[in-house]
Amino acid sequence: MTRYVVETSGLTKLFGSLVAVDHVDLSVKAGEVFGFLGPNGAGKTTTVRILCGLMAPTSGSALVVGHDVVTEPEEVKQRIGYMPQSYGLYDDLTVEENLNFFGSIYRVPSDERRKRAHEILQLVRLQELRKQFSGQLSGGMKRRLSLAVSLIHNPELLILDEPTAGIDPPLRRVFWEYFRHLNQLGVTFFINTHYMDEAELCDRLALINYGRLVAVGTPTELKRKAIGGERIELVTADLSKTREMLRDSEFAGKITLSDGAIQLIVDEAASAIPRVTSFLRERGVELLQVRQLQPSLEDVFIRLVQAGDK
Amino acid sequence: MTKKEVTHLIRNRRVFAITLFMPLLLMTIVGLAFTGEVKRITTVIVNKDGRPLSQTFVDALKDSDTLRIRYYTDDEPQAEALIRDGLAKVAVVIPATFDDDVKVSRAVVYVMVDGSDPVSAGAVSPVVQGIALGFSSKLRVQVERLVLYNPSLRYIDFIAPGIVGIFLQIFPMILISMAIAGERERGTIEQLIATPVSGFEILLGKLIVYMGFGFLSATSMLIVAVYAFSLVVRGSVLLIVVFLAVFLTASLSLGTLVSAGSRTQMQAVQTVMPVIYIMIFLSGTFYPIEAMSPLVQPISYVLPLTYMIHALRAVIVKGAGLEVVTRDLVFLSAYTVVMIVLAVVVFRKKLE
Repeated sequence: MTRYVVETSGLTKLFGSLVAVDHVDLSVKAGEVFGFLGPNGAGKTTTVRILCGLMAPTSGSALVVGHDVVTEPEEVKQRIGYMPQSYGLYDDLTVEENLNFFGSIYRVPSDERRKRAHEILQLVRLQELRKQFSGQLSGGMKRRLSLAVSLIHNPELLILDEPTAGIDPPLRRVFWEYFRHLNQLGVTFFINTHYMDEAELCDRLALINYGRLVAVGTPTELKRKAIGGERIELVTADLSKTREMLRDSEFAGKITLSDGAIQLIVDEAASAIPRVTSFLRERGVELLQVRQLQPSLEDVFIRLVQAGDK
Repeated sequence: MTKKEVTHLIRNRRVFAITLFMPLLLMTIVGLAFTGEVKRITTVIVNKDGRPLSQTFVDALKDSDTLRIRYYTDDEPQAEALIRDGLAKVAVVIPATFDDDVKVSRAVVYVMVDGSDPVSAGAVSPVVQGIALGFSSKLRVQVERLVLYNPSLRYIDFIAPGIVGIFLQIFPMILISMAIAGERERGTIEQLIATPVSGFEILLGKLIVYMGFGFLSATSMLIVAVYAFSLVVRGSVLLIVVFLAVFLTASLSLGTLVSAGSRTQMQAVQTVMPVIYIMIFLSGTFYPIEAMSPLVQPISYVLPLTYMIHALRAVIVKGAGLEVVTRDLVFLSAYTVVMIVLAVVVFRKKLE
């Protein structure tokens, strides 16, 4: 049986007349990397704060690691790790002292705390800097320390609010390596993001806009849902002639011409590319370029939002 | 450039309000507090003579603005008790032989003053002397001054308890409001409340630390006053500690309330400033409250610092016991309970 670590129903938060979160129903399975995707101001941070027990919902309920966030926030807090969007550690404490302090308020026994701190610092590669004041660390290091702190009490669920916002792509990759590593050790992830390439790395995604849930599914499912398949782009010497040819093929009806290229919507790009290549080659057309198009956040998003409005 | 600065100033409403109203507020308060002449000093008349001539003299004293005659007695020890208990600051003692002595021009009137308030004490004898001179050109009355408690009328004995009170009112309040606003400003509060630690525990942690700091500063101030300026602590040290604890809790709670309305440390300090000025000048630290304008006296009597300073003076300088400062302790305790409840409620609410 699937165990859910997050289950919300009708979760709603009002700030005055502003509806920040509007009847959101979410369920996150134990062991998955769940992405919460949406533009700035969509209600991601508010949702996450409710899930962490930092803020009470106006209505609706949320069960996190099996406990109600309103009636048993301490239980929830003890068993989840939270990395806020903005760095919130003590600049005048060293890396080690920060970890130790947070370990102590999570009531991790001191010998276990030491062992755990060592392992985590190893993981995020900060062990050399453990005597440094946190205030002296670079932005990327601070993020790594922030992640380390959220792990000190060995949480079963990690809630990360835009963990990689504003950091450079190489470090973002490194972060995702950490996430995957921890996920293999059994940690469930709930990650807020507005990066499509990151969303791609999640097991499942929920899309949110203006506080409302737009769609939930795996990245592939969502793309299919948004675009009706996958997209490939091809460039030939004579585009309009090629388009005419394709009208007689299995690809007819899903052809668009724009920006000096032809775009096709297919069920599965990997198998469609060889088929379209041979189709055109048989007719003496040489493909100058052919590739799968990765839909952008805007694409998938706007399409799903529009679909939702219809 | 100037226009832009003015825009900044006006947009930042808190600063704008402070720059606009602070000077007015400050000058008004100082003007009303430091009236220049000491008036309405609570006085007890010890008339041992009681014959018509002595009555006439008492009537002359009554006409004075400086004295506010509250008690009449013929018993000197009773007058002393009134002064010790802080119910009167001055006793004018008319000896039993006054009537006879006046007639032979060698009458002596004693003025007993409370040395713990040198400002009032110093002002009284010249006034009584003046009244005695005007009493009758033919009759000569000599005024002799007896100072209780602070015999040399040293200002340090008056000011030291006041400074301790002021310091404990201001610094712990600023420090804790900055500490809390700082957590908010740096975003550390969010990481902190994501842990199972409760809002009350967060607040308690800060209260304990700053309470310790407050005790340390009070002790060091008193040590300097005692050893460098030979202040004599006559009363019970335990009683002083009780007052310090109650008062510090109140200051820290007030600081917590201030921080609730401030997003940054800067704002916290700005909010505290006007309150501090009012407290310093109206609490009777530098100037007796009785001598202030009746317009500001009601403010003085709702400031906890007023009661704290009154109690510290009574205990340190006069060696007063609990029975003398009960009123101060009751007021301060009630104030502290209200403050801490408000602080805890507001702090918790603010965390959400």
